[in-house]
Parts: sequence; structure tokens; C-alpha cells
Amino acid sequence: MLEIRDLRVSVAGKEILKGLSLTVRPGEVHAIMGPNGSGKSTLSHVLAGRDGYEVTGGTATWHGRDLLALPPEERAWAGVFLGFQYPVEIPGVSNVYLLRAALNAKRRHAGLPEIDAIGFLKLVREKAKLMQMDESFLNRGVNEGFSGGEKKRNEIFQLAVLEPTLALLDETDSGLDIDALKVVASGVNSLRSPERAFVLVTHYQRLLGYIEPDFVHVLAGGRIVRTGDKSLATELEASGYDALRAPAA
Amino acid sequence: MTDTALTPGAAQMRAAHARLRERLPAGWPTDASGVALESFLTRGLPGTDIEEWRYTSLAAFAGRLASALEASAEAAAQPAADPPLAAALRAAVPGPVLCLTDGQLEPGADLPAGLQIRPAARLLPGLAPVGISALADLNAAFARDGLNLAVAANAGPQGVLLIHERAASATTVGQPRVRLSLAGGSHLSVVLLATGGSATTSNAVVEVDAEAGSVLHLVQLHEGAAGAQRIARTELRLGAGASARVTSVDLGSSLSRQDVVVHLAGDDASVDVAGLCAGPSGTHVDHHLDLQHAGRHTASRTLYRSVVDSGGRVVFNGRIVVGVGAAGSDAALTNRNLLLGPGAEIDTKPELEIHTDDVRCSHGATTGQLDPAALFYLRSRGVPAAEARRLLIGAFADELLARIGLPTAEAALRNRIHALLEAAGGLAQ
Repeated sequence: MLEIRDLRVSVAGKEILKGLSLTVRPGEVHAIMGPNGSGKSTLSHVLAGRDGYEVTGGTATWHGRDLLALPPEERAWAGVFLGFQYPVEIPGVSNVYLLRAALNAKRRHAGLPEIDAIGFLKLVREKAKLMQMDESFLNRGVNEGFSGGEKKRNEIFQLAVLEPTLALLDETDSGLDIDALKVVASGVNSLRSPERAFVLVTHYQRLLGYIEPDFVHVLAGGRIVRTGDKSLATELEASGYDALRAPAA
Repeated sequence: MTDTALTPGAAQMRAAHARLRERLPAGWPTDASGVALESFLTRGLPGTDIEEWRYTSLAAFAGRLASALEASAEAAAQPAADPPLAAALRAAVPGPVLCLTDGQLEPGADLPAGLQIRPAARLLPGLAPVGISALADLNAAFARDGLNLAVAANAGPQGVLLIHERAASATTVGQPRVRLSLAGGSHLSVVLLATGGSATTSNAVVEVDAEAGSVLHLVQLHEGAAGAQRIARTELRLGAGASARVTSVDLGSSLSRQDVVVHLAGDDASVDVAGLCAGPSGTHVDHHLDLQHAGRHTASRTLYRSVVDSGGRVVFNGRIVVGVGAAGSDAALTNRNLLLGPGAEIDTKPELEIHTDDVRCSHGATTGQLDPAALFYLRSRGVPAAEARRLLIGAFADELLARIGLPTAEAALRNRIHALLEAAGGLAQ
């Protein structure tokens, strides 16, 4: 279970998250929506352990472990995955090399032997097929020369291979055309399971037409100002964020 | 111009040279050797007041030279223990091995048809006139053997030949000398592996004469050791339509200075030259490239990269000169440098000198650190920090290593670069 209690985070001295609380249970899909600048990306980055975010108060635990005390790789080993809004291009490091290094580091940490080459290849091929990715993408540099849609698809492909228990998807829908959005959404849907939780950070309701959330939260001014079911997203689409901020305040 | 304090006294050098003459093999061109000595004595070792040596002091080299001159009478030099890379590379290169220990060619290797070893005595005089380089003159004065390899006209590709230049452990200053003569239309693929041990000193000269239409693939690898010093000058002359692909990989030592000089003499000659310099802590690696476009429609492509750790220093000077008659020349140089920590130093200077119109030239240099966004991305996937750094450094180096064309050698080099940087703490956060 992800438990965030009164989380306060500053970036360059400016407080962005101002006492955010959120509970996400295994198997649930939560959507976090909010206007630009509300702190959505800060939330996903601080949970994944990016430098430059200063936690000034509160806690965040995943299955009882203090996430904020762990370096990024150990959060990954604990089951956390961040799908980037802007996936980084890493020429010279192939997709499969990255995934094998990541899988094996996690296995070593768990006291398991490294994955065998044939089993690994079978796994990545199967997951590439799921994401309708050409196998040639596997041996290309990570996101190197990928289109915006291919990058997002690659994020979900990595998610599928690494099988995290907590997937934070930061604006995964941004920059996607409708076909890519459908592929990404069906990838996510096929990965839903009773053990796995999803937190979808998104600006628009559009993604939620394809991935049905259990909860929708509105993040504004560094706090969650409203929580509801999927109908809240539809309501937001109709009325905009401004209308919702008032009743919560 | 010259720091005379650097150079041992003329009397001492002449006396050492006279002792050397008594031990030279029959037929050795002592006249040419003497001319080179006198040329050296008029100039001495270059000091840091000379622009080409601004970042690299030869003071320690000069000290070793002076004591070697005293000791040279009983120079039965033993090879230094090979560094870890040597065995891996000797295993990785499939072809015959020619070994030069302390500049002396060891007998043995069977060469494929089309390759021939000519008498070492014909290595002097050198292809370049005396007086061009004080260190080349020093080599010519004190060389007493070497490898003089000729490729017959139109000889096709022969596989890869390994030349292993091993420095001696004794108190000598080795003067290894290699000439590769490619007759018209011939092909040659060579890996020149230079290794040193603790406190070895050498001053190498490699000359390449590539006649019209010949094709050379030259890989130069250097791994020294703590305390080792090596200076090397590789000079290529390319005739009409000849082409060369030159890749230098330097893993550093206390002092490593490599000059690569390319004369694109004939029309339509072309060169693709690249270098990878690793500067682990405690090393000083200085590469100077001097590209001379003389023929018409000559082309050069240059790519140098360096990765420098805290306490290491890399110097790169890339000079391209397009001569008066070199109309239609095309030259491009890029230099990228990666600094791994505070206290890492890179001094880079691309230079263009153009004496004709109708040319296409470009150059650029960038210096930076490992991309923090890429590091975070890898770590967020579960790759530990040190491994993430190793992956990014490997990716930076791989484009150059891939030019070698021998996957096992490339893997050995990559692992060795990581090990050197790791030992020095360069992969720690």
C-alpha cells in the first residue's frame, strides 16, 4: 500500500507540495489530475527519487517501507516504476541492455541468480509484441531517435518487462495521437492486476476514457482538493479546474 | 624557444652515442644516426614555452634520458611485465604477432604472402627530414633496430597483424621505430599495441608510406602503468587516392604523448582519424593531431573523445591545415570530452589553417559531465548508480571502440577502461 501523509516538497526553495496525502492500495488505479503547475510531476518525481526535490515534511511509504529514504534504484527494487513524461534518449545503451541490467540488479538484490539469456529474450519479445513494438526497437539505443509516441510506448514496454508493483505514469498521454494512446492504454490495462497499483498523472480526461480509474483526485495548489470516482474526471472536463477549486477551499 | 636545462649536455649525449655506435649492427647507417643526433643537439627537448608542449612537461623524461645515457652501455633490457590488457589483446587479434621489445624486433612470426620484413638498417634516414621533430631526431639518433614492413603492390587484405611494442623494465629509454610501406593498391590492417610497465620510458616513431590507391587500417592502443612514460609520433604520408583509417586508444600512463601527423599528399587521398583518450587519476595523456591537406580533393574526418577522471588530465590539439594547392578539400573535426569529477582536466584546442578557397571545413569541441537526466533514468529502472555511470561511459567510448572491428578486443578495452576508472574511484558517486 502506498501511503503518503502530509507530504511537503520544495524545489529551489519554493514549496510545491503543501501537505499532500494519498492512499493507494494494491490493484487500484488512481488518476491524479490538475492544472499546470499544481505539483503533479513533482509528486511522481519525488516518489521516484529524483534529485533537486527537497522533502520538508511528511512521509511516503510503500508496503511500510520509507520510500523517501531510498536511492532511486532501491525504490525500483522495492517495486516502484516511473513512466517519464519526457523519456530520456540514451544513445549507445540499447533497450535490451538497460532492461537486462535493471532486471539482474533487482534479482541480485533479492538473492536470485541472473536471468538466463534465452529466458530474457523470450520475455522481452513477448512484451514487445504486447506493445506492438517492432523487435528492431529492442536493440536500438534507449529512446534514441524515437518519436514521441514511440517513447511513451517504450515506457510501457519497460513497465511490462520490469513488472513493478507501483507504476507512476507521469503524463503518459501527452503528445500521443489517438492510435498510440490506444496502444499505451491497452498495454496498461493488460498489466492491471490485484498486486499492482497505478497512479496516472494527467492533465486531460482523454486517457481515462481508455483506462478506467478507481479513484480520481484533483491536485491544486500542492494539495489534493477533491477525490471522487471516474465521474469526477468527466465533470472536470465539462467544468474545468477553476470551478472545482472553490468548493474544496 | 628551447629549455636547454631539459636536455642532457651535448658532451654526455655524444659520448653515449659513440658507445652506441660500437654496438650497432653491421650496415647500420651511422651517418644518418649522427646527423639526427646533431640536429637534436641544436634544438634540445622542447620546453613548455613552445606552444605544442605547453601542457606537457618533458622535465621527468629528460631526467630519465640523462640517467639512461649513463647506463646504456650494458643495456640488456628485459621487457616490463605486460599490463592486463596485453594478453587479452594478443588473444583477440587473430593474425601474426610481431614483437618489438625495447625497440628490438624479436624473430619468429610467419607473415602472410605479400608482407615482407626489410632490413631495419633501411629505417634510416626517416621518411620525414631531420629537424622536424626533436623527439623524432632523438629516436633516429639512438634507434638500433626496428620493424621495417613492406606490403607488395596490390596485395589484398591479409587479416589483422599485431605489432606489440613493449617497453623495457631496465633504466633505458626505448627508441622503437616502425615503418609501414604500402605499395600501390595494397591493403594493410595493423593493430599496434604499445605497453609499458612501472617506470618504463620510450620514444616511438611510426612512419607510414602509403602509395597511390593503397588502403590502411591502423589501430594504435596504448596502456602504460603508473610511472610509465611514452612519447610517440605517428606520421603518415598518403599518395593519390590512398586512404587510411586511424584509431588511437590511449589508456594513459604518467605521461603519454601521441602525435599523429597525416600528410594528404596525393590528390583524392583521404583519412578517417579518431582517438579515445582515457585519463584515470594520476595520468597525463596528450594527443596532438596535425592534418595536412596538400593534394586536391583530399578529405579528412576526425573524431576525438576523452573521458577524464578526477586527478587525470587529457590534452587534445587538433590542427587541420589546408595548403595552397589543396582545392576541393573537405575536413571536419569533432572533439567531445567527458569529465567524471572535480579535479579532472581537459585542455582542448581545435585549429584550422586554410590557405585556399574552395574548401569545406568544420570543427567543434564540447566538454561536459555525465548527463544527470540519463543517470536518473537508468537508476529509476533499477540500475545501480555505479553501473549506470559505467553504462554511460561505455556508451560514450563505444562509438570509437567499435572502429577497431575486433569485438573481443573492443570488449577487453571497454572492461579495462572501466577497471581503470573504477580503481581510481571515477565510478563512485
